[in-house]
Amino acid sequence: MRSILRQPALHFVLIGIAIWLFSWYRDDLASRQVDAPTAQEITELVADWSSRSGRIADAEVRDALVREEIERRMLFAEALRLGLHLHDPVVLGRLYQDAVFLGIDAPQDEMIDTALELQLHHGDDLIRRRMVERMRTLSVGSIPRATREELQSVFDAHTSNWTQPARVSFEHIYLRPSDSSQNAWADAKIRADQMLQDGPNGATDDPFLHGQTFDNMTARQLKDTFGGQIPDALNHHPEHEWFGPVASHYGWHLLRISRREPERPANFEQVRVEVMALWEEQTKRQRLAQYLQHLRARYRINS
Amino acid sequence: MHNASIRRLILLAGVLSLLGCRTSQDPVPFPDGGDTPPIADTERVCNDHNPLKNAYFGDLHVHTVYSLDANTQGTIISPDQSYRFAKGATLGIQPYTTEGEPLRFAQLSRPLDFAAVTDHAELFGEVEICTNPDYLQYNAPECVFYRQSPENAFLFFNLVAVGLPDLSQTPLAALPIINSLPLIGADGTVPRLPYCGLGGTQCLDAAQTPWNDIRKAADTHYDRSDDCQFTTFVGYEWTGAPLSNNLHRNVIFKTSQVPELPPAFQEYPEPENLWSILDELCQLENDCEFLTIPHNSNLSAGLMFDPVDKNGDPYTRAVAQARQRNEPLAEIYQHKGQSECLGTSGPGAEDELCGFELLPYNNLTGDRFGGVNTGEPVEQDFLREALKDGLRLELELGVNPFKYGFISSSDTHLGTPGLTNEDNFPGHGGAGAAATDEVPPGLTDLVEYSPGGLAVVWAEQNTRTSLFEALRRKEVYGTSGTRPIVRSFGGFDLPDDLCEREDFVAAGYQNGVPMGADLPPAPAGSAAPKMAVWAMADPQPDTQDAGVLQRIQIIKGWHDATGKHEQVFDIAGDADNGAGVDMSSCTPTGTGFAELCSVWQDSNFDPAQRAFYYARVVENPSCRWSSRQCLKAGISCADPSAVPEEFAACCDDTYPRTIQERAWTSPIWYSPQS
Repeated sequence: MRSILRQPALHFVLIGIAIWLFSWYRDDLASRQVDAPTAQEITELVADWSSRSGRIADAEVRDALVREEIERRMLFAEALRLGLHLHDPVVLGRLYQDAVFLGIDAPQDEMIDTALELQLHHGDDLIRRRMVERMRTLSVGSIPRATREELQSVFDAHTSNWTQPARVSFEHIYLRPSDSSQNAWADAKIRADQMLQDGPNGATDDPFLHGQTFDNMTARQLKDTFGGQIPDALNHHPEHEWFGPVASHYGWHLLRISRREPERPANFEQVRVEVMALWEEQTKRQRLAQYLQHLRARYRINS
Repeated sequence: MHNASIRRLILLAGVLSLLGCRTSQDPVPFPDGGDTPPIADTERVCNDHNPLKNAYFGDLHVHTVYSLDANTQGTIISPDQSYRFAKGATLGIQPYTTEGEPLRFAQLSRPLDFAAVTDHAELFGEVEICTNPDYLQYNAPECVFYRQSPENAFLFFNLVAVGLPDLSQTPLAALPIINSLPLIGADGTVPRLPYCGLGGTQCLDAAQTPWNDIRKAADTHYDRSDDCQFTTFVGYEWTGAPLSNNLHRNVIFKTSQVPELPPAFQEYPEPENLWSILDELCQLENDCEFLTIPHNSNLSAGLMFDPVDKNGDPYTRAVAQARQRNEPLAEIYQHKGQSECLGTSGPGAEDELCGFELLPYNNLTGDRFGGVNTGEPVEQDFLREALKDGLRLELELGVNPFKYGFISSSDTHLGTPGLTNEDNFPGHGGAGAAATDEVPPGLTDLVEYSPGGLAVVWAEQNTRTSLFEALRRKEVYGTSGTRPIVRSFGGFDLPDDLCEREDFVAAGYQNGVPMGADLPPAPAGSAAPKMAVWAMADPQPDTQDAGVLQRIQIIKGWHDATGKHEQVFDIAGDADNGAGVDMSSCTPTGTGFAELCSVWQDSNFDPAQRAFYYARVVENPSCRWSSRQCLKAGISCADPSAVPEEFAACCDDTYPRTIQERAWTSPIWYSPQS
């Protein structure tokens, strides 16, 4: 064993490995650092935010803008470390355009290689945004299936977000104009007015394809069935009294509301898709935050 | 390779695996977000359950990012986004800025009740590989071509992978190079592109990712609450088009139980193959049922309703049965024109309304290659003629292979189901105009195309089971995009005063059969069948739509010893009501009817003749989408030389300036008892 340990060849290999590891460590360390925004850059960030939001940035906003910018820089640096830009069609296309702009004349692959050697991707905002976006997507990964408990918890915390529409039950008496002319509508309205005055109960009306009584209709259903002024009218009149005539898309209606159900909180099943979307959004946000925390622990921020 | 590069690759692989990049084996959660199984669909009772049935409006023909022709035109809308749009959400659509911001937005004026994303299955894997750098074949020459020249890639991929296989059976002496291509393989399948690997396995494996996403989106957006607001169907499009002659079919599944991969044209290049394999695969799953819906027979150059089997032999009874069983419906209207009738030949074929949204060519390359690969539309490609031919075949085979009910859909390639308004039509892409990089100047689509139509289903409630069973029994109708309500019944005992009765629907079911059904045997004596149709105009017409009806027609087709016949009857309304459009403002003029109803009796009925009857409900004229865009652009045709080239179609009298929106009910058939 000792003789093996004394072999110069082994020493040579070990030293080689050590040098390689040191070199790797040094390169790795060098690639894991980003510069904090300069005072000038912070001023630009704040100005940009103010112009978009129409507000003046306070210290809290300013700190958040700086933090977000550092996060973007870390994500971009990490994307380059992973070599994502070398396989991204948008980035390669952009590098080609950059090379064309600089007048580099060569076959397309060589133009892109030259652009990479010149590190044009470091200064290209579009490439930077593309890489940051890809890193955000990668850091989130594929979202697993939510459990019923997880969804229920999100639903319980945001119950006020979702409501069931108001519903109305009613009966109607229908008077049909003979055609769509103003005269025909006026004639039908005279009949309807007279019928309301005489007392609608037991009156002979025109048949309506969808029937005479309707239960638990939402505003959407009323629009799809009647159109015209019916949805609005049923929203405002008292129950158990005949009123009208009210115009639908088809003719005149005398209406009597039997029951109203006000808007109320939705139950879980009715809004499951929306709950899932919210849960997924929250999960993505959490994962991105965790990943950024992970990066912060490994990156040096040069002030 | 440089050490740094190797390290980067190792790190990249490690990180990607840690971060959970997409795999083809991602399970499809079912149902989403629930640990307990849902109530069986058949046992659900929705809040609006109605034994006399409600009308539900939907779109069963929708393309998203996963369709090659949509994707190469810049569509990046996912099935999930598409279903959100159908439910009423605003959607940013192509083109996009370099930062991914959409330059246009769309939103339905009214949400749909149901929808199915039906992407082209043939190139699922091919597109996935060419657009996802995680695949090794991402840099295959075909994929580089795909990304660098998407418009040409659309043609190349479609023609080589889908459109040419019949060439080897139909040699073209003038094109020896094309004829020498390795087309249909020895096993009867169409070879996939080289980068798909041996037997196409790489592409078939990659196809799992989009298919799983389509299934997941359908499950996510299916409303399983008692409100039953929205129903989705898992579906796809089988895209057979030899020599660009269209044989496309949408495949719609009844439940979430579907094949692991959608059988595609390359492996199953004939409709009979498709039905067989779907039957076989569905038998492996519980509760798996399907139906296929052909579309654009108007662009099939005589193929869609040619009653010959895959070997070129005349239909046998077995093939006719397979077609009738698996294919109860056809799209009568969509983005690429109507397939109802051409109206050029035969007794009683003088139907002036057959000119409605009629494409002037007969296959999918009509607007390409200077028209050298297309011809005039042919009568046998239209459903009315096919229905008549079905009567003839029923006499010969004992089975009618063309017993089609009617629906319409959009065929949007922007992922925008139900976007069928004439107003603000953004185009539908696909075979139409693309807006890949910028909003194209001029009309937003090819002038001969249109916003397409809607499928309407009479069902007890808005669930998959209830809707699918209605689709199967053909109690459905199609519209040209508006939302009229149409009910029809046929029967020998329908009361004459049905239109004056409050119980039109109950009495219709009690004394007759609804649209899509068969009349019972004719009673003894001289009784003739009656058709009762009640139509109500769209209660919420869009801007500048007529919003009123002009007339109801019954179209009768029959077959006797002298051949095939048809006749059109006006049964309600007024064809000469003088309604029109003020083209200076696109304002509809004249009067119409918010409702029409009539009970019509076939006075020429012969109980020995096979016949069908369907209703066509026609609205007053309104401005066509193209006219609206021409008006908004301030185009004046008084001085043709001053009209910009991109608006030249505005002054082309070949195309109509107005449109009479309409609905077509599924037919009711009569067969002699023997």
